[in-house]
Amino acid sequence: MDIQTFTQVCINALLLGGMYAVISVGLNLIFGVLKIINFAHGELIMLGMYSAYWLTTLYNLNPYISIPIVAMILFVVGVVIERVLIKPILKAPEVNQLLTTAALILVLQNLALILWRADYRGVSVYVPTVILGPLYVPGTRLVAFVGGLVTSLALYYVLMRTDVGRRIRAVAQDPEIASVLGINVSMIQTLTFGLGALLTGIAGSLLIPIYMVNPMVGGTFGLISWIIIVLGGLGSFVGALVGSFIIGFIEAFVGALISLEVSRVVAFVIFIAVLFIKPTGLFGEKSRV
Amino acid sequence: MALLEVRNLSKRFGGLWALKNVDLDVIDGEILGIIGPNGAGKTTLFNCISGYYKPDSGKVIFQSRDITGLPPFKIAQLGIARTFQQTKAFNNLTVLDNLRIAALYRGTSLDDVLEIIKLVGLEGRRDSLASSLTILERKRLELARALVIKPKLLLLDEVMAGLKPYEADELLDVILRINKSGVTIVIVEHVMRTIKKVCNRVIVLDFGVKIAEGRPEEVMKDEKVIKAYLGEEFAA
Amino acid sequence: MRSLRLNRIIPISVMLLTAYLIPVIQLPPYIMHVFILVIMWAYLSTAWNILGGTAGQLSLGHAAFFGIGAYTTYFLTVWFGLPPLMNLLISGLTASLLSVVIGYPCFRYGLRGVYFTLATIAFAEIMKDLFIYLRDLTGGSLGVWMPVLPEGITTLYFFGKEAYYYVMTTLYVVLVVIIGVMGRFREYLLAIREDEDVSASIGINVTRYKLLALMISSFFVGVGGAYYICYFRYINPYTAFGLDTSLQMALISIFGGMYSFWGPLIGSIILTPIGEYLRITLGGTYVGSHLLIYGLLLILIIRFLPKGIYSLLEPIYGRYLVRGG
Repeated sequence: MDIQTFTQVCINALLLGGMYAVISVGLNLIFGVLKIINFAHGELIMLGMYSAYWLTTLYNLNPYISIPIVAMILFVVGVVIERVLIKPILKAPEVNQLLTTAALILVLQNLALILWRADYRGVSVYVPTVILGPLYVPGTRLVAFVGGLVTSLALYYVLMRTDVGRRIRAVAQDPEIASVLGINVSMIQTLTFGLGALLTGIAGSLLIPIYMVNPMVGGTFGLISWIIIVLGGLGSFVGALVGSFIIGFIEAFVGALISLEVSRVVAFVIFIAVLFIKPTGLFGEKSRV
Repeated sequence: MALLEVRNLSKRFGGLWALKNVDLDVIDGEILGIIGPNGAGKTTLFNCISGYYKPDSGKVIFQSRDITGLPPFKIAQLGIARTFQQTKAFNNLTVLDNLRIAALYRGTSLDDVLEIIKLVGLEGRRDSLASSLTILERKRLELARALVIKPKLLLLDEVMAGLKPYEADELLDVILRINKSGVTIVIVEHVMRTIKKVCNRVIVLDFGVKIAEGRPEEVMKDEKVIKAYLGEEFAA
Repeated sequence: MRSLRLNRIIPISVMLLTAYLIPVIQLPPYIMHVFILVIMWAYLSTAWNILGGTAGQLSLGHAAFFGIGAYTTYFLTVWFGLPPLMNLLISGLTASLLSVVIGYPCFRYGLRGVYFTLATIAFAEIMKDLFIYLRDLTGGSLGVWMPVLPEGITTLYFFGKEAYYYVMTTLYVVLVVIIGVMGRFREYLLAIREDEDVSASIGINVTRYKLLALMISSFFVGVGGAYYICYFRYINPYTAFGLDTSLQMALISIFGGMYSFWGPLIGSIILTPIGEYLRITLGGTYVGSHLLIYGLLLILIIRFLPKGIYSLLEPIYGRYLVRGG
């Protein structure tokens, strides 16, 4: 591989990494911080993408402009899911959360299938491709990359510097103590889940100009998110970012050298390997199990 | 030849030595007490003996066989039973079923199981779900389960924790009866009353090191021991 | 242990007799097809449940074994000319061996709970991606077709559905019998499900038993996959290794009652016909509506009746596997 191709692939890898950061940051909040198992995370992203798609198609809104709206829509979806499905079984064995959200995958996928059919739908947005000599940086991916980093940083700020963020972290540390301190744990849980969903809404808006959406895309995004946050370490912010870039690089290089499917296989194998060696991930702390 | 020999056992976590060069013998038929302030390494010692931790150095020899580093199930098969600090049981099964499964694996007869249920005082709760038992009953169940696998050595880890004095006395009777039936017992405790009542010998740990050994009365007069506890001595 | 007693032999014999007599009534082929599906999914779910319900290890990647079973039979039949009847067995063994690849590392390193489930999902995805990638060998995403063979039991190719029904029912009966005689083994798996540490403390080699449970479970699921391709004559990597397939095995068991022996059968008897009905009526306009309903039902069951439909019947019919609650 010559130096030019190599650099191009590196650029692709970086851009992918940024996009994967967007996708996984919401899951990191929900599972890493709240310890709620949501297998349907990918499906939320799918909903985000569809929301952005319909807003563009019906109201001619540029997907980037509609980000706040999509974010709000997904926030509401998240709150509803948390209240209706998750809250009642929080105290039950974790298996139940696992199964309920796995069932949710079926529900959301097929709901989308019924409402919007199996056709792939896309949105084209004109964002100029940045050209650096012989290298291409597709504009939409660059926007997603930047958007991803900005979102991650914004989340970091919210978690670390705001009052709400402090409460979320308190609940994450120890819900009992948090409640004794006067924090409305139940509301914080709902809020955090909603926030996680909101982030998937942002992800969806950023992704729709790049990837086509169809009811099944959730599967791919969801699995990648899980791989990233386990790889990076649950609850670890830095971990999620690092994990995103690792996966981005694997996909870009293996994808370029062999094929896309093989890159996925490699990612999965690495994922399983990490599960054995250090289930807490690269940056994770105590073992959860 | 002692039933259990611990030679030069050391275990550390990160930079902290939980156990350092601990030597001890457990004599067949005795009730040995292990005491020491919080964090002295008592539970770590148990965990090393019963296979839940791998020691960093040293040996554990049981009935002349080196069992260092063997997995917990293997050690249970070889004849060492233990109880857990936080009582654990098959919650969705009845008391009888809990014990039947243990008996099934070991080959203990149903009659023996029923005898054991009587020995620990759980006849009345035979068909109750493990999740519905009181703390004292759960501890009886732990003892019963340990007995069902016909151990030569029984390790009791702070089994008195959370019991009221009269409950503790009842459990002590059970323990004495178990010992009389031929099971050697090592008991880790905080409560001095317990130690004084049942133990033939006592070993004192502090910061992972053995600081005293002997009969309960002697050990409790030992200056090193008193210093280690600094007033916790008569916590009962 | 609790072996067969008279009050159990009778209902079971009645069930058996009914099952084998059904084709005697000349039913339209589509109804026979539904019967076959019901038994097939009962079979697959029961096999899944050996690991899932009894041993408590939730795998959502069992489609990996199903798919391997199907493709193995295809390869053996088409490349080596081996009779499909024999290939059922070999497919099962292949699936079982494959399960060690994922099972041994998982159990040896103590992967539990959601991490184990994630590993199984990833495993099935790996199989799917591999089979799509190796398209020269496997036909890629287009899938493979079983060739037309002379009719007969060795080739497992029949014109009528009745024969297929008998084969499937017999497979299920064999599975049930084998599970039935593994009474002791099941008790140990139960113990492991309830508490692994306590199980170890009474001498049970937890890793070994989990692995055995997985190997047995995957064997039967592999055979199931082999049957699938002999009956449906076609498979592709999405059906073979897809999450939908894995979820369905789990779902049916859980809906029917994963802590009981007959739970998966009950689950299949209720869910499969509903699914088929939805697929025929709404499936044209609303593809996937049966899966939507399955998902909703599962959510409801977990919320309100976590021990499955069986827990409603238990007080009436007594229990076989469920202990307490």
